[in-house]
Amino acid sequence: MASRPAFVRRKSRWLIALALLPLWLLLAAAVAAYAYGLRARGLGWQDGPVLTQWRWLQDDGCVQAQGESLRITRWRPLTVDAPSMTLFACKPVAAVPTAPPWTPPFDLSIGALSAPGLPPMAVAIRQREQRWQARARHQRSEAVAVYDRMSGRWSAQGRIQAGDIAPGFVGALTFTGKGSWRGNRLDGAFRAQGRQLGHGKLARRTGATFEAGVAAGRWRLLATLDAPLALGDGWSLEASQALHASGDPGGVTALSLDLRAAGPQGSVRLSLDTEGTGVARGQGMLTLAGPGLAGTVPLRWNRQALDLLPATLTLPEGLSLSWPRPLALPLAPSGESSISAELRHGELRLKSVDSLLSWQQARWHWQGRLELTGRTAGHALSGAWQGRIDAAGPAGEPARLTVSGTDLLLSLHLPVAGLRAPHWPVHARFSGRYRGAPLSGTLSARHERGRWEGVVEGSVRSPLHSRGGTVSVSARWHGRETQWFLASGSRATVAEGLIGDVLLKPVVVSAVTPLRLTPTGASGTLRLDTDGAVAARWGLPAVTGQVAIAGRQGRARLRVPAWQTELALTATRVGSGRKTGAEGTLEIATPLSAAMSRGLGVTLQQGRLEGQGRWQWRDELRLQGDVSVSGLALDWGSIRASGGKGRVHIERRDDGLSLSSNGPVTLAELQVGTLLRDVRMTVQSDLSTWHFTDVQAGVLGGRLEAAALQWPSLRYQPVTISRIDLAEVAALQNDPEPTVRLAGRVGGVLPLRLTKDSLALQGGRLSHEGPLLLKVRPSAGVGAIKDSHHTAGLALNALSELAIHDLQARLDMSPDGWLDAAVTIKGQNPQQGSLPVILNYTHRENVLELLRSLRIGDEISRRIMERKPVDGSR
Amino acid sequence: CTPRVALEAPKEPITINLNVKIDHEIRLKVEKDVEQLISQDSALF
Amino acid sequence: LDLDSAKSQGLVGEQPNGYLGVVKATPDAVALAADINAKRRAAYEAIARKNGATLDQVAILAGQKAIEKTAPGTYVKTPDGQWIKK
Repeated sequence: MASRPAFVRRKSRWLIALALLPLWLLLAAAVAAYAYGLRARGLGWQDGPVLTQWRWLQDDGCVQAQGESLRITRWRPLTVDAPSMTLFACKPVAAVPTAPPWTPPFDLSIGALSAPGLPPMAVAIRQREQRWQARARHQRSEAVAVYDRMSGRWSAQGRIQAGDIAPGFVGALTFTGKGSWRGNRLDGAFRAQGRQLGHGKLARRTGATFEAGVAAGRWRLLATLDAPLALGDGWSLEASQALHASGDPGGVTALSLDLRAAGPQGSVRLSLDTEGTGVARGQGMLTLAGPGLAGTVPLRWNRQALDLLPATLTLPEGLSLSWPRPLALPLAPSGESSISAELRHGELRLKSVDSLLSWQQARWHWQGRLELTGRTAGHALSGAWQGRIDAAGPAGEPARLTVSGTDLLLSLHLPVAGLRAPHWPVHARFSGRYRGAPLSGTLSARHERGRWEGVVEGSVRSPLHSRGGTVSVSARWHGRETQWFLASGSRATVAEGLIGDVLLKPVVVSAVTPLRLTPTGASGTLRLDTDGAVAARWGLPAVTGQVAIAGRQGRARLRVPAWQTELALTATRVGSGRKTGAEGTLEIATPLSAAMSRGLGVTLQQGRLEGQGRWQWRDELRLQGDVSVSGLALDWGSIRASGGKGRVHIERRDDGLSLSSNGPVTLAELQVGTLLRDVRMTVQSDLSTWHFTDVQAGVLGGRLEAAALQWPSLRYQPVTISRIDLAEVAALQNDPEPTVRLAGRVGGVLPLRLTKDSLALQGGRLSHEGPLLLKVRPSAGVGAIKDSHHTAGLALNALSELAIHDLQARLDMSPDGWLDAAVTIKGQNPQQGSLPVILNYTHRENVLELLRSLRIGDEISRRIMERKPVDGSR
Repeated sequence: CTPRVALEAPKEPITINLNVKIDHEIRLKVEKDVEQLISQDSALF
Repeated sequence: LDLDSAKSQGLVGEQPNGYLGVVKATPDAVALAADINAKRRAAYEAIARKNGATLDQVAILAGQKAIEKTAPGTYVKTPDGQWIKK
């Protein structure tokens, strides 16, 4: 629109003449309004002309005001109703608005007038005989202004409720003012009195006074605060000296204030001054001090803005705030400023990116993007959030945070809705991978009683398990600064699952005492409850116990109630990262029972085992320890041993396990069919090859000895037997009325070959140790042979009784147990005139089956004694 | 058991050769019990 | 899960040592094998006691017979420890 034509201004008198004709009046009003800058769209009629949309332009086209449905409801006097109207601050602001010209009497009522720097108000303007009266109302605040165009004098008074302009505050401000306004020269003075000002929830109230004056556009302001103003959250504001400010329509030219806010975290002092009179420039200082606060910010202000020069501030909870470039805050009741700052905590940095702070009097809001980078507790953190923050709190998309470390990769999803002082409640969801296994859960946090606390619930599929074994954690945590705890009662449950071929029953680890989390590890007492484990050939019943951990050290006392086994472990974590290992001591004490023998080829009937040792774990378990067994009784089905005792040193290295007895290992009895008594030996083994040395045992009334035996071995190893009582050998016939009776002792050397599952004898030599005696009892069977066969009878008569002075035997036994004995006996028969007799006797028998048959006989007698059914099940 | 007896001409001392072989037939018993266990107890085998 | 269906699903199989072996580890297969092997061990022990043999001798004998008797198409372990289908 071209600039306004000059002729319109001179013709105003012509305009008034037309006013008398309604139609011309309407047209004239329209032309005048147009000339005066009014633009309208949508002329309508609703018992009076209605402009559905209108705008009022300044000469340079800048929209000074606009509104909807302006309606003229009466003509004399002219009554206009505008439900909403918005005024804009057009540049340049410098010029003081000119006093209103002559206008016909009119009434203007505006439902909602919003003007820069003022809250939306309901305004009613009435003009009669050139006396303007304006009434403005906003919520419970009200102001009235009167202007007499003839005398040029104006006056105003009003009452502003603090709560209407600053939510949460109480108290009221009453003001009066008067002055003159002619053309574009505005003069006057204001006085305002604030009473009972303070924060709604707090009892403390204070008063304030404001004085302002305007002269030819130049204004000055003086404000004083009688006593500290309570701000809430334990903070209060005090002014040690009055605030002086002055300026001209263009802005502030002089400013001096000294405000100090004090609260639990410390104090913040703002002081500003002017460099010289009329220079419209000055500096100041924002200083933070106190337990949680520190730092000074140099300030510079000029006509339009207050600059905060680059500075670093220390805030509570170990935070520090800094900004590299000056922050410019426009000195206007409403405006915006793009600020870029950085918040730092340890190695974490929170940077603001394209962020904008804008405000409208006390209503402010920030909009932009925050980016987090840095490291904490050995993990790299990076996060971002885009959204908006205002007094009510943040709003916008959830924030995203990723945490990555050697073993952990986590992405958190933090909704910001509801994030409010003072508790800042957060409910985050996280998911990721821990050592490759998927992990997910929720984390809640809130600031309460001076510390952060919350609940973490999560589940991760255990990397150890091939199936099942989900670890679910439910823990209440709390802490502040560097002290972080998991509350007692927090627990981790490992669901039943398979590790290789072993089915591990559910395991519950719960905190008995609060668990302190430190960079080197946790410390506190845990309780362990497991239902044991099941494998194809063995089973472990429930194991319970307590584990005390302190950083890198740990101690555990575990029990297997079903077996009454007690286990005590100590552990120290050594090394770090991938090379983390552990070492410690181990003590075990347990009775031995059949229940433990499921996976063994032998059944432990009774006994007691105690052991202690040292262990090391670095991706392979190494162990050195001593085990002592006493009162051991066990059986291999029908072969039984009892009275076992011995101490064994065990070493487990990467290449396998070695076992060596410490002192003799003894067995009181070993029943193989015939009884071996007082068995003694020392043992050396790697569990596949066994070396026995100085083996001794009592057998058949005599002794068995071997300097060294290896099993299994293909070599024939000599075993010497001595003082074997032939009477006991004869008893092996297991015949109550034995036909053959023997007496006397024999001994010799038996080269034995002990393979994995067989026993063989080759070139065994036995000979008499002193005189022997042989008697063949005349029994029915013997008698029958004598009658029918003369020579046989003769022979048997010779053998009826034989005093033997020489016995030489050769023995061989094949691996399947068949014994071939060739015995040459020389003696004489005392009943037959000491008839000299030479007996060549060969004996072929399967000894293993003999011993088995003896065990059967023995088994039946044992069972009768113990009253157990023949096929009692284990 | 069936002893076999041979007699040599009496030099001054009598020489008797006596050969004894003893047999135990308990091997079959175990197999019978195992066979019975496997065939009867279908829940276990 | 009973023994026959476990065998037909190829989860478990007979072994020369007389005990049921887990071919494909599932919680049910392991639990079933554990239960059956415990009962087999008790039966072998009773037979061993009755016949003067040792537990392992009876178990090995039972192993041979069980491999002979088990249904074709189910798994059996060879002496050198490989699972094969009978």
